[in-house]
Amino acid sequence: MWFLPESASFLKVTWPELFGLLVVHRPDEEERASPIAYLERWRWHNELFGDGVCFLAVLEQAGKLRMVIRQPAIAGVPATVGQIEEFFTRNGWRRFMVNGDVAFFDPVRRVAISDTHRGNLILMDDGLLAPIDLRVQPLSGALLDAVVRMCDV
Amino acid sequence: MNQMTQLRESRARHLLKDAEAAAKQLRVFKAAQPITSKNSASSGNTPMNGGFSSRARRKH
Repeated sequence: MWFLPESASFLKVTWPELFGLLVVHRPDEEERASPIAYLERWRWHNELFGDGVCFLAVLEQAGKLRMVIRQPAIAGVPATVGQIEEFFTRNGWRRFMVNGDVAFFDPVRRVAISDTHRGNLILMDDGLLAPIDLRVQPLSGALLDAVVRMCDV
Repeated sequence: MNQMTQLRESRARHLLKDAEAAAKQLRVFKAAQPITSKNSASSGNTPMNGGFSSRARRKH
């Protein structure tokens, strides 16, 4: 990760052939996100959380792909666990557990998020939280049904 | 005003422009991450190889 003072942003590069993880996946599918899912994740990040992530480039290194994005750098401190839970539930997200981790589901947009730990949510001095690196995954079909059921538990 | 609009406006008011402050904040957020983050496969908000640059230079 690199800080770019001229644009008050961070340059982020994925590890080779690693594009993050999915929130939920079918037993016979990879937990790893595809490059397209990685890009979709950031588009959702912008749409849901007012972020301004830009896709910049794909790099090829020893035959392996790496993706480059730029994300505005936000000043603040890590939110508390209580603030994080309150932030999401107050805004219509429904909490559920997946593989022992906390996740949230937006039943209107049919989107699930996870990795909502303190290192990924910035508390700004006006009290709002800025998510910076959540897993975001639109759901349909059996995965959607499964998450809806998990929210009902 | 919906959540997205509020957040977008707040983010714009809270841009981090100073490199030293950015480096300090990164350290704080790294310390707040779970010890076994399943997301460590991607660069996320963890400095690569502990590296950090204010001028987009590679440190390795």
